This record gives sequence, structure tokens and C-alpha cells, in this order.
Amino acid sequence: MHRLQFVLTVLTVLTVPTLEAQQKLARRIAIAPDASIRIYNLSGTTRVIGWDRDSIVVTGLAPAGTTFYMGGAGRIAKLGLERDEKAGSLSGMGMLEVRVPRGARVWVKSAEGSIEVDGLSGEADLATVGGGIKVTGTLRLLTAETLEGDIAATGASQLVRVKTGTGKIVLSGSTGDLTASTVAGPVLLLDAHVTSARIETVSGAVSYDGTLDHRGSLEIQTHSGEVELRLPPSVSAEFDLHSIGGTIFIALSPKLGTPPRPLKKPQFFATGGGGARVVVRSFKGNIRLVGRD
Amino acid sequence: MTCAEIRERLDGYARGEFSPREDAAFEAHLSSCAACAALLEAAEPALAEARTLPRAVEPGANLWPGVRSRMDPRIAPRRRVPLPGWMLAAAAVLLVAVSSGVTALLLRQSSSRPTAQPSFALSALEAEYASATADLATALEGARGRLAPATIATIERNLAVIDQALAESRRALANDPDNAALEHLVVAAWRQKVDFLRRATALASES
Amino acid sequence: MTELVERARTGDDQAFEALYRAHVGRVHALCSRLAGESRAAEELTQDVFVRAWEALPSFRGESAFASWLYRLAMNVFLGQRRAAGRRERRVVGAADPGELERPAEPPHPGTRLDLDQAIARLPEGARLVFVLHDVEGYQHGEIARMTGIAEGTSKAQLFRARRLLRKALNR
Repeated sequence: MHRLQFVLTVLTVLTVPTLEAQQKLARRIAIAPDASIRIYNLSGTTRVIGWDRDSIVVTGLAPAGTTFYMGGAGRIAKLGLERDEKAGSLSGMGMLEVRVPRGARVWVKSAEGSIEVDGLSGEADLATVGGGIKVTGTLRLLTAETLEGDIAATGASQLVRVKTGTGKIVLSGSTGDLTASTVAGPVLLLDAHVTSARIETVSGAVSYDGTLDHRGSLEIQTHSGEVELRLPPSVSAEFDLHSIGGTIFIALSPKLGTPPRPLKKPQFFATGGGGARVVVRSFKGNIRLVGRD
Repeated sequence: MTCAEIRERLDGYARGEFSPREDAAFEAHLSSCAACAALLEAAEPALAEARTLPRAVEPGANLWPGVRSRMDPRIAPRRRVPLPGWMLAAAAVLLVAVSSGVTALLLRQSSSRPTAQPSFALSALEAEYASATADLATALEGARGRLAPATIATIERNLAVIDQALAESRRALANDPDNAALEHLVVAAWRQKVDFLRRATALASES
Repeated sequence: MTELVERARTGDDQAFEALYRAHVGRVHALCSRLAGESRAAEELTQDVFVRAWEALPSFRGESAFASWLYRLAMNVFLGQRRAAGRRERRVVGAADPGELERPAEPPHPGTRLDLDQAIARLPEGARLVFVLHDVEGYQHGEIARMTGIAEGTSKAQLFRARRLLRKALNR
């Protein structure tokens, strides 16, 4: 049988009919350790947990007015809560807790729900309109997009693409290659160590607190957000700091009691002979470069 | 493969169910049989919207630094660009401002351009962005009915922030057309707008 | 030849940056469709401009700079595709046509975005022919010469691409 037909057959078999009240879910299927798994849960919270077994186990609650479906075989699986066409308002939020093989590639799509991912080492592509996204672990690829939710990630993922509108982005730990973008929300990088990072906001503040790979590149662009870079005074980097209407403060190794002099002109300079490259471009936000311990 | 077999097995070929040898036989037959080639064309005529796909899609990240870093300066003779005065001033400021442990040095030529400003390049780019923005706004408008009022309010709030930034930086550029940093910021604001609209549309279409 | 192209040709990197900014959207769109995956598309876009910088001195202005650049983009892509030790091109995406079906989703509005997403999920050979023929407007004969496949293969792959796309887009 063709795989597609098989998937559809399994889908049909596992579909849970709509029930009047909330329905507890408990389902399991076997799947390849590097499977591609699509999860749709438009209104409820979704929690994805990586584990060391070649199976998907779903627990959770399906509110009345929704149908749970799940199907898959080999390297592809698909599951989710689907709202029934004639259902009125939902009685409560759906909740899915999905255990997947650690190395899986997981897509999660939601509208209002929040998404949490824990212990995955493969890839995650997460999107929600209103909910927040929280990721713990070291992934090969992390993509997270939301319009108004916050995004928080802790770990040492290799490739990270995170975007929100008004939400806050907080990233802790090292990253190989990072792209972070917000409109009004702040971007905070804590204990950061990046090989290559591009951060863009319109009015959101940007704070980078950490170290730079010695060949690394950090590029920050904002219209009006305040930018603060906290780097070790011994950092070896080329700096290109540019704010058209704002002020630049440099206090990488400040002398006690002497506050940094406000600078209006663009600043090009290197420390420790150069190596990494830091570019900050701002229309009217202030830029601060300060030393960290 | 015979013509009859081709006709019978169109669907299997499209779905990729054939072995490599069967694929090759199917394709070889089409090289020599005009009737079957015509049949395939008739069975699946072109999708009208393929020609209306956006001609330009800005990359999600700024790729220029990566290109710049790989451009070999030895390929062509360099044109000497005179050092703008403000850079000399910046260098002077730095020598005063930075502490003794820091080596101040002028790193490279200015990122600002000589006064022969290729403003047509920017206006062409802005026109591309404006058309992409209009396309996306139309698509988003179509999905509006399925969005929560709070989400619509969020989208509008975000767009207002971007539009204000865009207006401010464009006004500043009009007053200072040779300022390359401003040009960067205008382009960045456009890119943000297109990217935000794209994300809003994509997320809305999945709601 | 425009002044900007002439300046870039003689090694003016700032003129080249202006050209980059005027054309990057178009080149990136082409690369995205050819590569089918955004990360690879960004790398490819960069490769195209680096190659353009290197090849510009030999650009004689017989064709428009834009056409020259897009043709170059295609050649860079095809060259990389042919090269031995093919890098993993698709970080995200589906090699399996089964992934094209998405029963849980309603038909999408905004057909342009949807079509691009569906193109990205096509098998590589079908995607290449579809982009060259239906999006870029090349004929089967030209595609055969450019890519080294037979004309029949080009026709068959185009049929496969259109059928899979119609199915994915619920047309």
C-alpha cells in the first residue's frame, strides 16, 4: 500500500469522535527516531517532550467541540486537535502533551495556544499567533514565530530563528547562528556566545550580555530601541556603532568615578586587535557598550 | 513503455511510486512521443498563479555582510575613496574616549558612499517593497474574518510602530540623501514591514 | 551599461553594494524557489553575489545587468547541484510527496504564499523544472541544455510538479 494511503487509513482509525464533555487522551504510535511530526493545536497549549524511544505518545485533554486525530508511519506523523465545523464556543482549552523521539523534526502550529518544547535535539518549527513559546534544550534548528507572544529559549542550539511582534525574546546560552527579530518587543541575550547573530527591532530594546566567538559577528539594527552590549573588557573585536539621533556611550573598561562621555558621532574602532565584528545601527536609540565581569 | 502504459500510469508517476528504471522509461518515452507529451500538457496545464508569484522576496536576514566578507579585493583595481571628515573626527574622539587597554584604529573605509548617490537603486527597491507590502496587506485582509479582534489590534499596533519608523527614517533621508546609514535604516524598516506582514498572513492563514 | 554597473565592474564595492540591494530580492526569490529551503536559499543568494562580483569584469553589457545576474544565479545553483559531495540542501522540508497532503488545514487564502510553500515541498527534480518553466518562462529545450536532463524528463517532471501542486493547493 502506498504510504499516503496508509497514513490516511491510520488517521481514520485513530480519529476520536466529538464528545460532549472534555475527553482525556492517551494514544501511542511507533515512529522512526528522526521522524517529521506535525502537530496542530489551534487554541490549547502544546507541550512537546523529547525522549529516548522510537514512539509518539500523546496525552492531554480534547475539549468538547474538537476532534483529536493522529496518524503516521515510518518517518512521518501528524496529529492535532481540530475544531468541529459546527461547534460553538469551546468548553475549556485543549491541552496536548506529546512525547516524541529526541531527534525528531517537529512542527507545531497554534493560534492562541502556547507551545513548550523540552529535551529535543532535532529540529523544531513553532508558530503561534497569540501564545508564548518556551524551548529548553539544544536543537539542531529552532524556528519560532509569534505575533504577540513571548519567546524564551535556553540551551545551545546551532541555528536559531526567532521572531515576534510585541512579545519579548529572551535567549540564554550559546548559539551558532542566530536571527532574532521583533517590532516593539525587547530582545535579551543572557550568557550569550554567538558565532553569528543578526538582531532587528523597530522600537524594542536590545541587550546582549555575554562573549563573542573570536571570529564571530554580531549585527544589531533598530529604529528607536536602546541597545546595550555587555562584553568582557578583554574582547577582541571590531566595532562599528552608529546612531543617527541617539547617543553612544563606551565604557568597556571604565575608570572608577568617571562616567563615559556621551558621543554623537559614529564610532569605528577595534579592541584587542580585532577578530569578531560588532555592528550596531540605530536611528534614534542610544547605544551603550559596557564591560562585564 | 507504450503509449497505453503511459496513459494508465500517469498518476503513479506523479506520486513518485515508480522505480528509477520505470521513471527513466516513462521520461524516455516522452522525449520521442509528441502525442503523450501533448497529453501530459493537457492533463496538467500551467497554474495561472505561477506567473503572478512575487518577483522579489527579501531574505529574512541581511546577507550583505556575508557577501562583503567574501568579496576578494584583488579581483579588480580599487578606487580610492577619500576618507570623510567625520571618520577622522571619530578616530580622534576614540583616541581620547577609550581606555589605555584598548587599541583604537581605523578599521576600514566608510560605509557611506561617495556623493554620486545611486538613489535610483533605493527608489527601485522601495517600489519593490511597496508592491510586496500591498500584496501581503491584501492577503491579510482576506484572512481578517478568521482572526480574533485582539490579534487584529496587535497587528495594527505593530504596523503603526513600523510605519512611524519608516516615515521618520524616510523623512530624515530626504533631508540627508547621502547618508548611507539612513538608507540602511529605511531599507530595514521596509524589510521589517514586509516580514511582519508575511508572518501575520502566514499565521492568520493557519488559524 | 549604467554608471553603477560600470563602477562596480571596475572594482567599486560601494557601487556593487547598491546593485546588491537593488537586486537581492529578485535573486533571493529565484534562489528560494530553486533551493526550496530558506537557509540554503540565503547561502545560495550570497554565493550568487560573490560570483557576480568575481565575474563582473567580464560582463560586457550585451544583455541587461539584471538578466545576466539571474542567469548567473541559475548557473550557480545548477553548478552546486552537479557538484560532487552534495551538501545537505534541505534542512527543513519533505522529500516524500506524502507530506504534501495536509488534511487538517482549510484551503488557505493568499495563494501566492501558499504556492511558494507548496513549491518548496516538491521533489527536487520536479521543483527545478517547474521553477524554470512555469515561473521563469524557459522552454523545455533550454531547460534540457541548462540542466543536462532530456527534454522528455523535463516534460514529465513538469507534469509531476503541476499535479502535485494542484493536489497540495486543493485545486
